Amino acid sequence: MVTVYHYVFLAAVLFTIGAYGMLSARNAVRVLMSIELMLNAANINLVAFSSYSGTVAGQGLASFVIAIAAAEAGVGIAILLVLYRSMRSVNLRDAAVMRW
Amino acid sequence: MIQDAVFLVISLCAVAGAAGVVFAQRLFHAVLSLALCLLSVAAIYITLGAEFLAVIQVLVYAGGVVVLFLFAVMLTKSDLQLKREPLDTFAPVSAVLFGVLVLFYIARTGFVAHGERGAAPGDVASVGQVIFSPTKYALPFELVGILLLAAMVGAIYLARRDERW
Repeated sequence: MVTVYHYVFLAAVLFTIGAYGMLSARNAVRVLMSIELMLNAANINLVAFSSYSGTVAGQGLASFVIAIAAAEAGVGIAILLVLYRSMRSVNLRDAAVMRW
Repeated sequence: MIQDAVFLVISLCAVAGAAGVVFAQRLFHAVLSLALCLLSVAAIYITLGAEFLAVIQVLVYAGGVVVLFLFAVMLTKSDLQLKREPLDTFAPVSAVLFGVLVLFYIARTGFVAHGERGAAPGDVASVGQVIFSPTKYALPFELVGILLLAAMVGAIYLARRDERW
C-alpha cells in the first residue's frame, strides 16, 4: 500500500540531494541542474497531495512550477554563457571576483 | 503488491538519477542522469494519476531543459575541467543529517490527505478547468505567460554575441 508518506519521503530525499548538490558544486551547470532537482521534488509533493486529496489544484500549481523552472533554466544558462564569455570558465570560484 | 514494486523501482531510478547529477565525474554524464531522474518523475506522476502533467514533464524537461543543459555543457567546454574540489567531510555529513531530520519530521506529521491514490482526475480537461477558471488560476496563468516572454527576451539579450544592437 503506497501512501502519501512514500511520495513525500521520495520528494524529501530528492530535495536533500539537490540542496547538497547546489551548495557543494563548483560548476555552474551542475548548480542549475541541482536547482531543477529541487523544483521537481516540490512538484512531486504538489501532485501527491493533489492526487490523495482529490483536488486538481495541485496539478495546476505543478504546471506553473514547470513553466517557471523552464524560464529559470533558460535565463540561468544565458547568464552562464555570458559568464563563460567574459571569464573563460564556469567555475564559481572564479566568479567570486564579482563579490565586493 | 505490484504497485509497491513499481513505486520502489521508479523511486530507485529517480534517486539514482539525482545522485548521478551531483556525483557524476563528467558533466555530460550528469546531464544524462538528470534526464533519467526527470523521466522517473514523469513515471511518478503517472502512478499518481496525473497523466497530463507526465506528458508536460516529458515534453518540457526531457525534451527542452535537458537539451538546453546539453547545449550549455558543449558551449562552455566545462567537461574538460575534471578536477574536483577536495571534498571536506563536514558537507556530506551535514547533508545526511538534514535529510534525516526532514524525514523524521515528515514521519511525525499527520497528513490530512489520506484518501485513495489517484482520487483527483489528471486529464487535460480537468486540469484546464482549474487553470483557465477566472475564479481560480486564470490570472496566474496570464502572469506566467508574461514571465515566459520576459525570460525569453532576457535570455536572447544576454546571449547575443555582437555588442551593437
